Amino acid sequence: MAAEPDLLEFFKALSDGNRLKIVGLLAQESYSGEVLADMLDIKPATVSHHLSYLAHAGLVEARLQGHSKLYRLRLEVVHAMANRLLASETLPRAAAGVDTGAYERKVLRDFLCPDGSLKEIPAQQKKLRVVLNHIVESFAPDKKYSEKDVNGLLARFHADTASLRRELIGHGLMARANGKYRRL
Amino acid sequence: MNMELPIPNTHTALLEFFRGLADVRRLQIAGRLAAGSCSVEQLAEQLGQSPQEIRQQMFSLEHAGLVSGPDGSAQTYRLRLDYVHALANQILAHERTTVPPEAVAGDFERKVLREFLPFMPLIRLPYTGALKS
Repeated sequence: MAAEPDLLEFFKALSDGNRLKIVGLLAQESYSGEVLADMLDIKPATVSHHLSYLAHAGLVEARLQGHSKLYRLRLEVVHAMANRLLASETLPRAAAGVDTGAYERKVLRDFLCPDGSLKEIPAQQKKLRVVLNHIVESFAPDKKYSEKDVNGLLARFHADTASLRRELIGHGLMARANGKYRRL
Repeated sequence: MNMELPIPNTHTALLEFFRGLADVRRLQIAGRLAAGSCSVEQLAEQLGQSPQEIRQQMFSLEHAGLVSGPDGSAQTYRLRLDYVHALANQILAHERTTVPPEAVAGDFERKVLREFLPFMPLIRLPYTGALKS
């Protein structure tokens, strides 16, 4: 059984007029590609293209009946997606999922040199935050660092270690107590 | 609960709905708004896009019936979760509409209109050929 499509893939699959009609027809019963083409008055090649798109998205599956392939809507998948839309955490999570990865990668690509050092400390808060999240990964979670150790690690990123130190603390990523630093 | 609960129950409305969310940037905006109303500027800041880009996507989302606004002095937009839920419930309702086999022999278009009403009630089908069940 194909994996449940992700939300974006699901929406994309249904964002075409003919695919939506195909899904509507298959919600009723299984049809062959030719019958669908006939019903929708479009070329069999077009239908076949849409069917493979839908199959790829996990929404339809084909079975062989005699000489022709019959396509079935995987209603269980459609229902699972509908249930996900009803769950309050789905949309925020979908957004976070597509968001952070791509955006953070882009920011890091823009600000990091191939050797891992920072070209500059970002002026924009959101970008700075991404960079700081990356930098703080150099520190072990349960270890205490002297200021000298901290500067040593931060110098790999930028010569202005004092600014980085201040920003890490300001953003709540590190804390300082009794002259020792630790990652939060 | 909502006085004018909209239901995306035409082919066009469904298509607009899915098109509205079939884009990473718009899905992001919808996701942010699902967590609380935001202004264009807040969205721009949070998503790392220009306010102009956000406004463009917002136009499509409004057109799809997915967001409404701007409201209040803060000019915030909100996600129309009632609309999203109405669509989801409509899809789920399909499960409960079972058509007796004898109805299959009836007029094809009527059957289509009735049976997959939850999905796409207003599709006009040129197909008039015989149906085998």
